[in-house]
Amino acid sequence: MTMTTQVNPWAAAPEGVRCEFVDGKTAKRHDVYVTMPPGEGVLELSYLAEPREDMWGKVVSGETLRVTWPMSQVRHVEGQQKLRWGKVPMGVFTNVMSPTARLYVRDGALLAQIKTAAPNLTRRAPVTGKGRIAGLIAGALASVLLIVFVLIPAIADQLAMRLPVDGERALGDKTYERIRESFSQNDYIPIRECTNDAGHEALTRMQQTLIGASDLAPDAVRLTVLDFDMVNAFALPGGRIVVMRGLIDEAGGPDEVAAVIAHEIGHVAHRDPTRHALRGVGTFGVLSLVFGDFAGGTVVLLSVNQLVNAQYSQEAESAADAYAHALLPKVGVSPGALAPLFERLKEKYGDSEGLASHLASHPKLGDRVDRAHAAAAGFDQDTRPILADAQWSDLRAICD
Amino acid sequence: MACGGHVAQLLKTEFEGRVGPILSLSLWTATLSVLTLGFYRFWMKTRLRRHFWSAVRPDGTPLEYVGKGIEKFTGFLIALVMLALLIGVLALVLVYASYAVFQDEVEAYLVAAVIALPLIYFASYRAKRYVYARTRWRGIRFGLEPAAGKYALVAMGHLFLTLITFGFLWPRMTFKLEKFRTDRTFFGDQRMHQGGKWAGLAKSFLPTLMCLWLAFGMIAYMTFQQVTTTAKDNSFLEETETLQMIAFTPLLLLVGLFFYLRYRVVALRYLANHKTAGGVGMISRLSFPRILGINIGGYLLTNICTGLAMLVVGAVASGILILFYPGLADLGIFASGAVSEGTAGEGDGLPSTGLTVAFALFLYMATLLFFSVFRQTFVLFPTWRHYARTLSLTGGEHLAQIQQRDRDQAGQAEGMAEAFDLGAAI
Repeated sequence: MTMTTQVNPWAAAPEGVRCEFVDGKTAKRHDVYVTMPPGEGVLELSYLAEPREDMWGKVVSGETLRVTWPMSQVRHVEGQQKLRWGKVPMGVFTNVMSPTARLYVRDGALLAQIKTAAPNLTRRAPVTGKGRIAGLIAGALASVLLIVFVLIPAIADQLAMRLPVDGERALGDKTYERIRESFSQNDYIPIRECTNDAGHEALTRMQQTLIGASDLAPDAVRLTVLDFDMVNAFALPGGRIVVMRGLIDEAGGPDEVAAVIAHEIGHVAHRDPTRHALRGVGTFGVLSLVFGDFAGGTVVLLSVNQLVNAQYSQEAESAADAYAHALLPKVGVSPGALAPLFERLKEKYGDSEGLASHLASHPKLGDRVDRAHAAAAGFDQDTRPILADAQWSDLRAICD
Repeated sequence: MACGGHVAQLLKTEFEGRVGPILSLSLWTATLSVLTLGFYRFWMKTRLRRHFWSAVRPDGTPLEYVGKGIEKFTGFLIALVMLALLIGVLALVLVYASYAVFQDEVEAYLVAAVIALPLIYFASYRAKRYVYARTRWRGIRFGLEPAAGKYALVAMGHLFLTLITFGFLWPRMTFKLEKFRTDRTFFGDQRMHQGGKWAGLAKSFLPTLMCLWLAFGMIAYMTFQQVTTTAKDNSFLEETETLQMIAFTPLLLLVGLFFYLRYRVVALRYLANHKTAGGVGMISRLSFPRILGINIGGYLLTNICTGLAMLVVGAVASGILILFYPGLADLGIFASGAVSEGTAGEGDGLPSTGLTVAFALFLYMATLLFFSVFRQTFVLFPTWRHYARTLSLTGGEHLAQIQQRDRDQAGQAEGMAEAFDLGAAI
């Protein structure tokens, strides 16, 4: 391990503790003898210089170099305080005035001496450019916020209006499958779609009645019931409206279900789900970048949660409500039909949310109940149930 | 030297490190990373690197990593703005275009991959430059010349050649890219040189290539069969033949993977043995069986430990949940799992949707955390140790002539690489 520098065997053994030293200028490692003259507060390092040519071309060797490190300038090398060499600790020291030089100490006694005598061993260079760092953080934060909350929504809105119907449906089908998989209790079988014959017939009837009264194309909306407890319904891109079984179980009659569906048809007519899905694609990509989650699990989790518990903007919600309030009277259902379900849910679960009561916990629910009542006040024609009693019981049994 | 004669010196590399400190360091830094929503990860990586570097001691002198967490953080911020724009807007536009034209999203991923590829090479070169600029041995800095753009271009060229030769020129790409980087690497003022020929790697790549071509052939044959059977009547014999082939495919993949790992190790050894820095050379005695053993044993241990740790975390979390939501008491230690999967049911005294999502996120992050910690300890650490212990330097007497080099700021640190999770290990 030692360098092969040949030392004159008759020379007096140098004074001090043998350590290793690099001067930070060449990659040569020197065997250095370290002393701490009492009372001077310095480390004296002496080592054999490399042979060099003097001004007459004669090789000079055997010179001894001396380096003096004032104790106040000696520092630990950051992150190397606890190195070991076999069973003994190894100290790596440097000098603030020559920060690339290193002194490697393996002698326990000398190590202890240096540690007691050097006052600033762990002092670090002050952090420079704090202002620059603060500026960078602020700038990065501002641009990410701008991208997420302004740029991406703006582009998503534009693109959503231009996406052809086929593309929109394909997008909806993909997200639909993703939702079915993520809500499933089993990793391999997606959550069940309810297609009981009689129930499906009732569902189709409700769909046709509602669409017939609207200004949408007959195939613009597809209703699907999923076998899941959640009291929820949501629209997906391409006009797929998913009603969870929990909602049908909870509803007091077909009109309440129709009212919820009419609201979702409003979202479809305004292309809210497509806009939402496209926005999610951009936003969650950026989020996973920020938080460094490369496995992408956060993204999947959040995006599914967002799709199902979609909270559209206040304007989008009002617009969908207005759409529902206009549509429902055309099929003989009071726009107020939305209110009882919400009120019942609120009564049942209180204002605190339960796992299943997403609809009840929707913000501004009170406003929506009020609006529904207000719309119902102007409604004076005769009501007729959207489904006959027999069909309603068929629909309630769609998942059996 | 005093006697004038240069004695050829062989410098062995020692490795000084134990599993205990690595485990505790990676455990607490990873915990901090999760608690800070991932923002501690820059400091975490810096601390881990310092630890790993200083364990490697060529000729008894530890390597030093002098990078700073704050550098990595600011570098990431700069890259973030650019990449957020690219990833956010591009992802959006690609997904739109892909659905508008093809009614599917696979095409979007393909185009994104084509755009990302050169960026990945660009970022990986940049990252290497930063790491080299912050690595020292015997007080002397390493360095890598700035050439990330050219590197990305050259890599794309090689990739193209590899593609049109069905993988035959892959070893050439390995060699040329390594040479590109090595020839721009410095230790102090001494430029390094990659010797050897790409043909030196070709032989060890042959088995992998055979597996690859066999797989290609089988896919081609099956497609051909499908076309002809739909044209004619489908006979029972051909059906079983196809089935046999499908069963054979995973086996082929496994064998291919085995040979590819072997190729990686052999190539690394070959490339190391042909590297020089002036009069200083390298000898590597890397062993494939050892690396294979480390990987198999290491990942086995990693998975077992992650499973056990998650059982404990899940049980503790369940206990806390049951304290607040007595309705979950029936589920016992599995309450947290049931809640995060949304299977806990509904009703009074049960957590809300928001809490459910938060819980799922927590369990997911904890799993990732433990996996990375144990992988660090049981796979990377032994691999690193094996690399170090099998490496020696020749011509140590020439080191005295190597002079210090100036500091390379390497501005944006690894900002770009962070985005692609390059050098995910350390």
